[in-house]
Amino acid sequence: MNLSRFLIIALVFFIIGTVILYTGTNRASFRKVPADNQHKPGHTSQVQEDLSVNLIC
Amino acid sequence: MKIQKIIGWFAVIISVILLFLPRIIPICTGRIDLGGGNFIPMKCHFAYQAEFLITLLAVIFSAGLLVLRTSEARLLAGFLIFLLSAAIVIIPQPWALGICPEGGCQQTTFFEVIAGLMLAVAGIAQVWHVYKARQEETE
Repeated sequence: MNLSRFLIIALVFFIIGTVILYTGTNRASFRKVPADNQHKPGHTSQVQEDLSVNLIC
Repeated sequence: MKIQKIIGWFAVIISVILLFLPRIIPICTGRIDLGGGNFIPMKCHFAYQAEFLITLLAVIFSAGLLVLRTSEARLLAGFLIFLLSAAIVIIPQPWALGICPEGGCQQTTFFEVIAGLMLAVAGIAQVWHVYKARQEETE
């Protein structure tokens, strides 16, 4: 394989990797937020009332 | 098989393993509730997004070891692989981007650091091998 072909393949590989990073295919999908934590207009969940910053892990 | 090719293939395999490691051993998928329905990913998410980009470059440079012909280019590629592997090990450290203290992140980082150190060894071995060959040529 010559260098110019390698550089083209490397560029394509990097672009594909960046697209994978953008779409989130490289990681496990986020856990779904419980329904009671979803923001509803005029309603505030108990968690949000108790803590301004709540860790869901 | 020449030692050059062995080091090159070893670096490629380790880099590809590093690339897929967060899929094989997933990091935690939790998010931080900022209130008002706003959620942001935890810092381990950002750390491993950065790791992915750096590992992409490590795969390219590792493959370069199999393609590059001149000793200077191989020397530079080996040195860059070493620097990238150092970045791979540094990013999950608490004084850099860091990871969350719970969940699968600790396990992922354990294997990430081991693979990163193996990649660093490959980079150093490449640099040492080329440097030694260049010295023998001049003598």
